Amino acid sequence: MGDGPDMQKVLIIDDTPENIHVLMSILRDEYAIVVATVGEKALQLVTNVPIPDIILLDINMPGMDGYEVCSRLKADEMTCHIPVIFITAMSAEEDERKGLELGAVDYIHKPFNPALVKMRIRNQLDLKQYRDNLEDLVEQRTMELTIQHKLLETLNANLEQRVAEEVEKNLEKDRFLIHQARFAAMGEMLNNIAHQWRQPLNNVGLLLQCAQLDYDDGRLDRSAFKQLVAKCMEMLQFMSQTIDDFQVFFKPMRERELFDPYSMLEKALSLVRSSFEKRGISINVNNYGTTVMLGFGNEFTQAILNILNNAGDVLTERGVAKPFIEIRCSHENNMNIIDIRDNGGGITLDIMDKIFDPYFTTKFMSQGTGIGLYMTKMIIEKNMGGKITARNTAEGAEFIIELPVHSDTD
Amino acid sequence: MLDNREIPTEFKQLGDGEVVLPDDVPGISIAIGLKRVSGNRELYRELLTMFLNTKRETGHDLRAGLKQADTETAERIAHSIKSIAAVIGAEELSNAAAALEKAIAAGERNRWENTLESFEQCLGVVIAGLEASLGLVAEQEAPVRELPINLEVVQGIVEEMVGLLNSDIGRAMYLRDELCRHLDGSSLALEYRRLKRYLDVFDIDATKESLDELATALRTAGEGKNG
Repeated sequence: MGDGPDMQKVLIIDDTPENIHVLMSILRDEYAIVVATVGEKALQLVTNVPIPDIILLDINMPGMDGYEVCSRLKADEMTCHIPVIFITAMSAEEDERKGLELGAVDYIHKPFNPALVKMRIRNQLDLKQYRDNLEDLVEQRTMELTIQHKLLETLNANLEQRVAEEVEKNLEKDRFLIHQARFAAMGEMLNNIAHQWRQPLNNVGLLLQCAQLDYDDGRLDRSAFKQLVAKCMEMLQFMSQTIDDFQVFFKPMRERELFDPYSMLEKALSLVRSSFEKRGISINVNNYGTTVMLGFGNEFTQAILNILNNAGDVLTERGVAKPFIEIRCSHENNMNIIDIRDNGGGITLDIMDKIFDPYFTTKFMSQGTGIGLYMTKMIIEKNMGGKITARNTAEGAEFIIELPVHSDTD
Repeated sequence: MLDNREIPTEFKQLGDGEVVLPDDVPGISIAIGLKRVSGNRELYRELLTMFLNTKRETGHDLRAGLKQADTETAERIAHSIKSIAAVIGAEELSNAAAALEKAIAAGERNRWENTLESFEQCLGVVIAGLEASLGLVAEQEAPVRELPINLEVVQGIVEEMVGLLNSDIGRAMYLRDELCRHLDGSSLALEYRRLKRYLDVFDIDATKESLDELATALRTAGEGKNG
C-alpha cells in the first residue's frame, strides 16, 4: 500500500460505485484517491489542498454531467491545469470528440482493461510532472531574474550616487589642478621676470659700481651723475614695465575686447623669449597679416604660452640640435590662423589622440599637470569658437589654431 | 445517501480466506468478468455481491421511472446497468441495457415495453444465477455475541477514517477492513455493516455520519466500562 503525503492524488468522479471499485482496486496502492459520485460534490472536493494531480471523469451522471464538470474545471484558474481523463460507457465518436474539445487529455471506453487504464493514467501523470517541473523551472528562473533585476536596480541607484561622487571628486581635482596650473604659470612668469630683470639689474649694478669708482677718482661730475641717473631710471623703467606686462597678463578678463592675435602672440613671446634664447631655442615668426578680432586676448596669450612652453620643454628634454620654433600668422577666409611648429621630433602616435585630454601628461616625473593643452583647447574652442589641431611634420610637432574673426560666440 | 426505501435482505459472502468463485453462473462469463478486474477475485466477488444487493429491483425502478415519464432517470439507470453488467461479464444483460438506453433516448415508447421485457429477462437470469451459484446467504440479524472491543484501537481507526474520507479513500477502505476484524461479531457489528454499506457505494456524507455514530457508541461503551 502506498503511503505518505507525497503520493499523487487521483479524483474519481463516477455515479456507479462498481466502476469506482474497479478503478480503486488498480490505483489505491499507488495514489491517494478521492471520490465523488455527483458533479457538484466533485467541484467542492477538487479545491481541497493538495488539489488532485489527475481527474477520472464519468460523463453520464445525474444532475451535472461530466461535460459540465469538465467545463467548469477548465474555467477555474485553480483547477484548469489538472489533466482530465473521461472514462465512460458512451461510445459514440461524437462524445469522444466533445470530451477532448472540452480540454480532456484522454478518453477511455467502458468496459476497460484495468492494466491499460493504469498505464494511461501513469503516462498523463508523468507528462504533468514534466510540465510542473518545467513550470517550476521557469518560475525559478523568473525569480532569479527578478532578483538579478532588483540587484541591478540597486547597483544602478548606487552607480548614480557613485557617479555623482566621482564627478564631484573630479571637479575638486579640476579645481586643484587649475589652481596648481595657475601656480605653475606664476612660477613660469617669475622665472621670466627674473630673466627680464637679470640684464637691467646687472646694468644698474655695473652703472652704480662705475659711479662709485668715478666718484672715488673725482670724475663723477654733475653731468655724469645725471647721465647715470637717467640710465638707471631707464633700466628701472624697463623693469617696472616688465611687472606691468605680467600684471596685465594675470588680470582676469571678464569682457571681450578687440585684439590682434599677432600682437598677443608677440606679447607671449616677449614673456618667454629671453628664457628660450638662454636655452638656445630660436624663435622665428612670419606674420602674413592677421585681423583684429573680438575675444579674450589674455586667454589667447595663455593658450599660446602653453604651446610654446610645451615645445620648449620637449626641445630641451630631447636635447635637439639647433632647436627652433617657427610661427606663421595669417588670415584666410575670415579666419586668423596661427601655425606653431618645432623640430622636437613630434608627438608619439600612440598619445596623439590624448594630448588634449585633461590630466594627460608625459611629464610624470616633473611638474606637468596635464592641464596645459586641455586649457589651450578650451580657450580656443569653447571660449573663442575656434579650432586647434595637432599633427606631426617631418621634423616635429605642428599646432594649428584657427580663429574665426566673427565667432558664433560674438 | 441511500434512499429511505426499506433496505432489501442483504447477502453476505461466506467465510474468509481463499476467495471461492463459482465455475459457472448463468448469464455471466466469469472469465470475462475476472479479466475486467485484472484477475482480482476478491474484488470480483465483491462486485457480484454488490450487484445482487443493489440491482435486483432495477426492472421495477425502470418501470416506475417510465410510468412517471421520468425518461432521464430511466435512461441513466439503463446506462449504469449497461456499464456494470459489462464489468461483471454479464454481456447479454449489458447489451439488453444498451438497447433499452437507446430506445428511451430515442423516445420510442412502443419499443420500451419490448426492450424492457428482454432486459428484465436477462436481469432475472443473472440475479437467479448469482443467488444459486455464488453460495451467498441472506444476512440475518447479526447474532450479538458481545465479543470484547478494543475501544482505544477502534476509536483510533474511526478517527483516522474520518480524516481519510476526503483525502485518501483507498486507505480508508483498508481501515474499514481492519474495523471489520475488530467489530464483526461484537455489539457494534450492525453499526459497522451500515458503515460498510455506505462506503461501498461511496456515499461519503452518509459514511461520515455513520462513523460519527460509531464514535459516539464507542464513547458510550467506554463510559459504561469505566463507570
